[in-house]
Amino acid sequence: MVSSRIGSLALINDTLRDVSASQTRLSELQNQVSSGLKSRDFAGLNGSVEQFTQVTAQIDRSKQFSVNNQLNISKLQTADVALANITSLADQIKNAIIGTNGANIGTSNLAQQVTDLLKSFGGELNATFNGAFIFGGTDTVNQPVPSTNVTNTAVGLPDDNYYVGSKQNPTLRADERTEVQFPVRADDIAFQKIYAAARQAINAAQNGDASQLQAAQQLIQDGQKDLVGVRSRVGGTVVNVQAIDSRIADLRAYWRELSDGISKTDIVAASTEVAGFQAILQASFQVYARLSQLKLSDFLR
Amino acid sequence: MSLGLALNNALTGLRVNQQSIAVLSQNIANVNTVGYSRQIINQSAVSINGLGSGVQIDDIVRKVDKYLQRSVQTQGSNNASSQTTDNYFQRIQTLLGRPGAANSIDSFVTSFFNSIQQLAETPETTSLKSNAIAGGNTLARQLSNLAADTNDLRFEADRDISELVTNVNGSIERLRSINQALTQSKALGQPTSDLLDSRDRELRLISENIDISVNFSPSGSVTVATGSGAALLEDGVRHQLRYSQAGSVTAFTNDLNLNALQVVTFNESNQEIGTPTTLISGGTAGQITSSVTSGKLAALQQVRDVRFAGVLDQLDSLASRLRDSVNAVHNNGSSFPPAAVLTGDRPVRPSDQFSWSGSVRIAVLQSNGQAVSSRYADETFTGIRPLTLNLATLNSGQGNGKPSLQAIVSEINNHFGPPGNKAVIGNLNNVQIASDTNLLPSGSPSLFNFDLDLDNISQSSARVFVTGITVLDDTATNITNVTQAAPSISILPTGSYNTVIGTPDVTINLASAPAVAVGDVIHLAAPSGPVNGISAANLTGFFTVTSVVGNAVTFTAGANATSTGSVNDAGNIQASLAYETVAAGNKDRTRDKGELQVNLSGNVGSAFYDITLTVTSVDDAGNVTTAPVTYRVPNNELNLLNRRYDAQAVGAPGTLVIPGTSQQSLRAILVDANGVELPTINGQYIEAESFLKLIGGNADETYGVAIDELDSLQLGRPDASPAEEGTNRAFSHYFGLNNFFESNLPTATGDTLKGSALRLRVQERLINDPSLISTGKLVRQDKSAATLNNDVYTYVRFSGDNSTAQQLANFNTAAISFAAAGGLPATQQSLLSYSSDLLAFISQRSSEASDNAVNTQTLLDGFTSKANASSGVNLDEELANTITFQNAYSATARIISTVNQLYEDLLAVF
Repeated sequence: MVSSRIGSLALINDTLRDVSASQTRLSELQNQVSSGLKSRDFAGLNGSVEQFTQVTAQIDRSKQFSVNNQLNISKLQTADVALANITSLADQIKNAIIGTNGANIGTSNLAQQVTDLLKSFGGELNATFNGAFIFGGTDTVNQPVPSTNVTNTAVGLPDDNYYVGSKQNPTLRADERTEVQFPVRADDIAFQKIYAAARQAINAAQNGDASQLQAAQQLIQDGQKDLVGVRSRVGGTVVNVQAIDSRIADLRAYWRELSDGISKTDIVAASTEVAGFQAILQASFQVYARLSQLKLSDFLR
Repeated sequence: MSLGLALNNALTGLRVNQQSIAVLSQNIANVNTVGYSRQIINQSAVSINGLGSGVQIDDIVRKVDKYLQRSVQTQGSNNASSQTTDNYFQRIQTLLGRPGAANSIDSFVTSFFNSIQQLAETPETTSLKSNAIAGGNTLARQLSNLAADTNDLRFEADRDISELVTNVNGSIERLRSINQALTQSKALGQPTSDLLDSRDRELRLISENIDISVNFSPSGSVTVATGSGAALLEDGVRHQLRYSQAGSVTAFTNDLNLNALQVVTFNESNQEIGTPTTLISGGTAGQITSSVTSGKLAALQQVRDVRFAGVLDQLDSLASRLRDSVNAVHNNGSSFPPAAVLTGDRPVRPSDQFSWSGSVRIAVLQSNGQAVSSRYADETFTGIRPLTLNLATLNSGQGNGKPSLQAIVSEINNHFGPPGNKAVIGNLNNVQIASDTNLLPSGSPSLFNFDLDLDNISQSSARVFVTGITVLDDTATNITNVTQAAPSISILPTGSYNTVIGTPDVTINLASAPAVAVGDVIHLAAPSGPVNGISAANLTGFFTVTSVVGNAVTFTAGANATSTGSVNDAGNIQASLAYETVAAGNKDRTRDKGELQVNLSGNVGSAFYDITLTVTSVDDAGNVTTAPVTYRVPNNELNLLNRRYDAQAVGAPGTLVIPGTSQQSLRAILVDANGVELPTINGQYIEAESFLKLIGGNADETYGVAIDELDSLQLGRPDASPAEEGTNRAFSHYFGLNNFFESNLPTATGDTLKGSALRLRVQERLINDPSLISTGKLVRQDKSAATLNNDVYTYVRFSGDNSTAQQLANFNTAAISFAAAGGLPATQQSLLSYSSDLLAFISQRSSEASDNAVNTQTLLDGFTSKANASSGVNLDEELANTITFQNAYSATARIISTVNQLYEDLLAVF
């Protein structure tokens, strides 16, 4: 229905309301451009709230995992350094055994030499990271290997009698679904063999027993082979954690993009819209101003 | 036509035009008055006997389109409703925080679990423990604040309702006055346009607040009723809305009953009459019903009782699941170092008696997580072993698995209390007797029922037999009267023994299918004579079953048979079975294999009884150790049920081990709300509300307490009529011994859901000492295989065990069941997902409210615009009319002037 007449107040009110609507929208656009966000509240996310919150949570979680992973990589690398030292000590023990041939076994200082090396060996197994023992399994506050000399139940037979740590490996969480076990404890068979070999060598030196010395040499060589396996487990875990961390970083970049798409302002689109409303507003003011100049009373004078 | 008539006509024209200009000036004066309706004069020609006699004013009327007016009223009501809703939702949106900023619920949830995840990586780090507690505290505070703010908004809506009621009552009173004025004016023929405008304005105001229906009388007066038909304005009586707002926000935080909103009626003497009509009922949010369907009042009621109450339900659902899930895991773990004291936060009473299933493990530990050194010199590795409390078999007189709290407390203290002398027999580390009788003397005949509490810490299981019982009174007189036979199987008197020549294999034929299996040990008393060359001595003692076929059981005798065939045994020898086979490392009570019973009627007045049992332990290797153990049972005592008696003497080859100290290692007590232990009478707590408390250590030393929930479950009272549902919580969680979050008003089936968000708090003890956060669990530590001796493993708590922290961190993604709440359906998802859903739900409702507000405003604007266009004043139109009326007035004046001239001319002729 076309209105045949219109009240002056209605005319003014309608115009002002339209102007106000344009100004409101312009204000919203200004906020969007200045804050960089599509909305300052969740209601403005147009049904994408769940997706947005989940994605931002994933970004935060992945950041946390990355921090944890770097910490765990450092811990593993500390273990690797200790294992390198242990490898070197095992070499020294082996060399001491080889250097003591059957002829001089009774007069050599092999026992003292190996005893000293064992102390260092134990020291490496008591290595710490951030104040926590790393080779004691989940027992991180007690030395896994006593400072005093360790003994075996039977000479030449490896056992974990020296070990006072936990039998549980600590678990590391590399990402939401991947748990990685810290791969080495001081009761590993490699260390058991080296301890047993060292004890056997000391025993051989004390008793002048060349065949025992040879058995000790064989045992430490076995231990060294196992030690290579231990180091490779640690190295493998480092690589594994690094690979997971790298994947997390890639995912985080993708999630960021997704999150920005939901929440961040499209500046170009917003600017274009601003221009449109600006034109409408200008036109409204111009038309209103012109119409306001047309008053019948002016012509009735 | 006479000159006089012409003059009269002109005069009427002058009057009408004057009045027209007056009305016109009124219109122009009100050009900017909102709600003013343009007035026009209805005029008509006057004729007498067919002869024109001038003009007259019929009426001054408003130019109103009634359809548009009604539409404005209806849309005004809808718009007020949506604007109100939108206004409140915008406020709650602010409370929910900004997307992407660290101040929304989802970010607090993520942040909390991130801090736990970080702790899980290095669970021994003190700063990370503080960080995790701070994260939990922040999350709890934010949820609590959000709930409090939402309640504030509900309270504000309630205040708005009260204010609205005042406004509506004001409008009703003004309408009443207008009605009277309209009737009077109509009767006097006076113009009513302004009154009608006022009337419409008041109707619009009321309809914005509440949906109404209006009836118009010919005079223009109105009667008004609510949309549901309750009269608000009618002749003869006076109606008013009545509502008493809530006194404070606590009415909402405590979910108290709100008052009803009613229409009350008064007579002309201002006395209340009739029954008030309820528009909005009273009660709590879930009970309130309303017949108001639109207007501000409907919106405010919906906000107060439905929408924001729903938001609170959702927050409560999130908070309660967060609290219960985290508490369940936290109770199942322990801190490092373990807490010295654990105090429950569930009010309980000593007589509380519920069904329980499963067991719980309680340990005392040193600050380094290792077991506390044993009081016995022979327990070097295990230290003080934990109590594995079998709740499913604990009996305080109502049957297995239904112990009273008093019985649970006593059982804990039995284990950790001052140690007594220990009877070591074979691989049994201790043999105690446990009373199944509650008082002595126990009646006529005076029976004493008991069973064995057996501790095996070896690497081999122990089969336990009791082959002899003697009872001496306080004068050392033998009053033995055993009234309960040992578990046994009966050998048939015919074809009893079957042998094969040259082998030691002996098969015995039994009267019924035997309750033994291959590997079990049986005890045979001596047969009446040799059996096919096997001497009676070689067929007496303990034998391991090698084969079971039907009712025939085969074992290996001590010598080979010299012939093949069967031999009858006239004595009908009883073959005894083990009371119990105690697995390696276990502590078992023989309750389920039958109890032992002696009749003390031989001397009911004896001060005590010395009961000597001949106990045998057979280990996995078949090693048999038999020794007599004597226990002294004092007479004339109460509350003996489950009491343990330590050995007084042990014969060889068993040994009596005396503890190095008599100090307890842990104490379970019941305390009141102030932490003061309840008084006891005869060793039993008095009946009063209390809390379970476990205190590690003794007067000289402090020990930590660690609990593993194992499979314990509190099941309520399934046997009661009607059955009472339980909490299905494990032991520590049920009592709230090691909660992370505070409980919320515990009930029989858990915690009260209402107010869970508002009252969500991290326990004060954790805030004060973050090291008490549970990060790991009690774990079994085996002794090195190379050094195995009698004691083989113990339970310890390692600093780097992150299992509990990891489980807690998993809640960020682990699916949890949520019941339907506040419009969100029942679902199974993670806490984070639920908080996202909650945000999305509220945001969607906010968005809907905002869209509705825009839509209704657009409609209202449209109708208002049309109504204003139709009934409002157009300045140019009025100015144009000014010229018209001015011209008409001038012309009429000219006629008067002309007539006047004519009269003068006429008079001049005379």
